[in-house]
Amino acid sequence: MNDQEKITSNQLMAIMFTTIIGFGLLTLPRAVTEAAGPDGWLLVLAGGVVAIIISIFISRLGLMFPGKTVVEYSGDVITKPLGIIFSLGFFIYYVLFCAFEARVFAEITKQFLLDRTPTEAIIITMLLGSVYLARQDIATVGRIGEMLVPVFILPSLLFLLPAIPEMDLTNLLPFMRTPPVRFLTGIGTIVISYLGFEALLLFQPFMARPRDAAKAMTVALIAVMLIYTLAVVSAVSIFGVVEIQRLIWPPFAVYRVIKIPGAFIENVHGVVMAIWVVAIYMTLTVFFFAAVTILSRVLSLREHSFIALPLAFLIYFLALIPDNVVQVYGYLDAFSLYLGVPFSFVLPAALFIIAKVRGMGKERRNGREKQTKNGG
Amino acid sequence: MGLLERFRPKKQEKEPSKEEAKDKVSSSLDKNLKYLKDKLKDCDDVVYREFRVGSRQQFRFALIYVDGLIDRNMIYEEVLKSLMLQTRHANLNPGIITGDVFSIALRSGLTTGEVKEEEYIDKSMISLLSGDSLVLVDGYKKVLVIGSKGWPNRGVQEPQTEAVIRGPRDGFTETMRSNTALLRRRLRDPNLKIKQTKVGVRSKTDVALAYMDNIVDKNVLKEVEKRLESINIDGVLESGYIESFIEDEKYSIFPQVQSTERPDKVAASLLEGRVAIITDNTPFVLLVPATLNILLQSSEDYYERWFIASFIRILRYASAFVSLVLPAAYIAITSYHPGLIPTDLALYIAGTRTGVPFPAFIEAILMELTLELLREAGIRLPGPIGQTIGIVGGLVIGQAAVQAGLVSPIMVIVVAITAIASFSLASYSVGIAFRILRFFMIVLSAVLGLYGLVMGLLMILVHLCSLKSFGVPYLAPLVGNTYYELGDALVRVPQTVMYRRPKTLAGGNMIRMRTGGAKGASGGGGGRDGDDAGSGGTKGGSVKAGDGNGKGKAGGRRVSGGRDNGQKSGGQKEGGPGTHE
Repeated sequence: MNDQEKITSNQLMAIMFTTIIGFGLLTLPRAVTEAAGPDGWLLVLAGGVVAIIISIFISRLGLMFPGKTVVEYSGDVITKPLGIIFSLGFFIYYVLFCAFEARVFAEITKQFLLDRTPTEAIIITMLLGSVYLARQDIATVGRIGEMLVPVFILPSLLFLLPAIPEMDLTNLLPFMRTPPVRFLTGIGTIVISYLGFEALLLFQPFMARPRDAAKAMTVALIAVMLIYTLAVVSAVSIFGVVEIQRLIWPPFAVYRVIKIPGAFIENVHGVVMAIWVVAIYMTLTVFFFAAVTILSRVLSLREHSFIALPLAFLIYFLALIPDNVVQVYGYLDAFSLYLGVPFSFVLPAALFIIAKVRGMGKERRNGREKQTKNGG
Repeated sequence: MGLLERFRPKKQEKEPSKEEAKDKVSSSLDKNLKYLKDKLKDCDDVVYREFRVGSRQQFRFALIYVDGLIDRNMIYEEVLKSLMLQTRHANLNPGIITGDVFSIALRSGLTTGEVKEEEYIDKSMISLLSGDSLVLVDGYKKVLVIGSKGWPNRGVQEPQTEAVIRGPRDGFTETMRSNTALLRRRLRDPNLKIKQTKVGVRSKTDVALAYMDNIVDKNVLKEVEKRLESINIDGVLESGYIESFIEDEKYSIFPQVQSTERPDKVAASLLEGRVAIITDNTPFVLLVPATLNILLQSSEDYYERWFIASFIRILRYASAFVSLVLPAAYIAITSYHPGLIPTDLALYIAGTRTGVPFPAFIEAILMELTLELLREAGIRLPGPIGQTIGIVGGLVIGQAAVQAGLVSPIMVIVVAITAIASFSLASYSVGIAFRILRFFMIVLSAVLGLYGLVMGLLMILVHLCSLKSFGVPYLAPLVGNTYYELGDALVRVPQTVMYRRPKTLAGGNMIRMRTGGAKGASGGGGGRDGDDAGSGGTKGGSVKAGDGNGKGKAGGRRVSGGRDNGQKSGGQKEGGPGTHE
């Protein structure tokens, strides 16, 4: 797997952007207004900044161990057995995430597009589609990310334009009245919307120039932040803080109120849904790909493609465990608190600190200096 | 010229070395003739002509050729007449003509251009079968191989499959030599290399690789050579045989090798650093690497003014998309999401569908299959009839099917638009790939509505992203760090601002050939002007003052270099051929 094609920093940016944005946006306006009222959009920015900081840690960590993914270097940092446990935990985290994604996606699709199609059929088709991409190599994932970025940025922004007359910015007042403690605890609730950036732990060694990872991540996360802020601001200003909490998926509600004057398409939300399928597909597939990559590396397999299909069945059964949407979101909250926060924020930071304390990056740097001295 | 090269390929050299002793030409003419006649038993198209040369008729010669493959006049005039008559005249001066008859015949007897000595009889037999003539001399262990190819030839005609409004009308023919000549006429550059090999154990088809030595990506070239060498097939009758052996992904529906009949297209591709594979006996030349973007282009894009060309390109991309999704989208919307379109239209569509006994899916499949049948029938039937039947058949079936109430009129329109869109694609093979995928899309959207449609598109996109043609991503330059090439992808920017060769295709340090005057001359700038690009570039280089518009247009593809020229006044120098590498 080491001789496979590398991805460019633009491709990493595209992968990250498309991965992060798919899933979190759905509940974001509701979650942040619950946590911080009209100041929710500030919470989005704060969460984004935290994510950027952590992803810079992760990229530093990756640079200490060139050519290794977290699966290999976690063993170096925190002894081999612990490293394997960490990697397996990471794997479980991704598998569960995929299951949630698939289920939520199926529920949304059922509600907005295919009301009489069984949930199972939607989940299966979605997962099979993911298997197809997860069997390819990382370069393909990178290319498809690159192709898809404009596909869903442009139309979603364009369709937001007609919503402007519906907006009432006074809904965003009062400004900065949230108590600081409530605001800080609120950051915890929005991490779910930024989950996905931690896949850098796996993807960095696949980059042609791993040094650019931090920059690419920052750009991708800022873009995500902007889109999220836009979504929150538009949803809150259209519906108001109170009404928004009664909507399950406020962004779709936004597109539902839009009428494009004189257009052939009567109801924009169908098209938005179509774009949404793309976004969710990308998120799910990248997580799927990450899970497959971790497993193949833990088992030191040379090929990763054949794991994909069995894994899809596992995810399928997991996705069908909750009975309804409410339960899905109940589990999801627990998931993001007990697995999402640790695996994307706490553990990478801890790994970074331990590696620093053990002087691992330094070792390497010294080694390299020695090498260059010898060379000179 | 080509004759010498033809014997260079390794395979051919290995063969004789195995059975060296047996293969060598014997010194006895009778033995040799017997050997050949034995091997070529029942080959009645081979002609043997024995004759004697010299004043006393003391030297025995034999001429062997395959009737029909050779230029008879040439053989009669330059070989038989020269040897039989003119040596007799020369013999008036006996002091000179003594000695080695064989080398005298070679040096001063034969008045033809291509003559070669050959030691191995089997090798000479292969050249005999490819249209050369053999002259055997009694007592000498060598054969004279005379290049005498001349068979009935179709002649250069306008290509049937890639018609253009504006652009050269000449197309490749079935004869490789005339095809390489068409290329050489366009690129008078020593860097245009034409390397020949033979492919096919039995057919021994001549295959030539053409490339620009200092532009081509050496890795691609090596890969092409490697894949060509690995072909082990009995006969290569068309370049399609080769294509199927060298393409990257055999199980993909998309063509990963471009085939064209147009020499101008090949010349332009060579200037972009691609490799052309010219196969004997077919007018279709293969070009690698190929990307989807390239396959959707037409050579005319570069001859029309850029605005028109850009419009046409966008239209072509749109029609590729339409030919893929239109019927599927129609099914998805009418059967699953009528709320997406204006209510009036939805009601109208529902109204036209009343009385149609089939679901939209069956309706679409029925009409699409009929259309494919009509297309196929139209191709098989002779020219004018085929067209008439195609159009009339389509009209009648469409009209009749609607009146009979089997199909709704809107479905006929949808299918017709789809057909027009798919025929407007520049490449037949890409068009047909999209047409086949259309059925896949129809099925998906019939089952899963809009969601199925989007998933289908995603799957196709994933597949396209995973494809590579000789190391170049199939979707380049839409992916990878090659965004500046987008100017020559979805649109076509003016020739004057395309400074650089596409990085995805051209190799290494030769990317910016277009920046300098000399480079402009050798690379011919945009180069797509074919013949005159070279001289135009030089002129632009030496005139150099008009680097903005006017005259600079010819050499002006060096635009960024043009700026330098202003200061360095290096137009003249750079214009010279000295600075090639």
